[in-house]
Amino acid sequence: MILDLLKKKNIAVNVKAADWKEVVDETGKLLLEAGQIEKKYIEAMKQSIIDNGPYVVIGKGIALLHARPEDGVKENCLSLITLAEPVEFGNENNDPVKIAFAFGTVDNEKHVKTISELSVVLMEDSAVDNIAEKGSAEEILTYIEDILAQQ
Amino acid sequence: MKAERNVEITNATGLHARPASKFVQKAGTFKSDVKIVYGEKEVNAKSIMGVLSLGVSQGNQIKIKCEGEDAETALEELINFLHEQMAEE
Repeated sequence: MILDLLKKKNIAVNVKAADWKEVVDETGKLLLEAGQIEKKYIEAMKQSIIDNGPYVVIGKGIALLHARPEDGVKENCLSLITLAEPVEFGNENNDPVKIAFAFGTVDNEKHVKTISELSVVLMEDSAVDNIAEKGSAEEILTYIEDILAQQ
Repeated sequence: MKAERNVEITNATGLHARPASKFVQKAGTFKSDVKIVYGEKEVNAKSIMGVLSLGVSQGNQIKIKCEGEDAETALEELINFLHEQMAEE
């Protein structure tokens, strides 16, 4: 399921971001350029962190960015960036963030399955560091495929 | 001490994203080990990724298991917390 959504065009490696807002911009940009979200969705993802705190940092080094379907999602989508330098989100347990996903959903049921599958991948030993070290989108996709094949 | 109980997830977005992170925070305030069982999977309720990996959605039944000195209190408070969370949505 995540491999149905996470395509090469949705991945960027070694991205430079000075702060958490730039992380949201860069991760969201991949969805915007693919025509999968409206621009306002990026602002909504930021607003969600401002309103609700950095709960989006769901594990050590991982941010899972999102807003609501009605905030401008055109189709189910998922993007990923790896950061050139880790970025603080203000989450005392899981900072700093090394990789960030952004997702948009138009369909709650499918979305739960997607996030479930993504969590399974990220719970693998050293998954975050392994993904963060990859030099290209192809290598990241191969790595995720291998983990899913073992499930 | 051990305590466990089933709960049905009744809100549209299921147990993930913000509700999950709040639940995990709450679970983390107890000394007991807290587990969530869904189908054949059992995960640590103090880990957001663990909870998200279950893929619980509306209408699913989960079991909360607490084990430790404050197991009874933890179970009671976590179940109440879930009901309050679901009522908010």
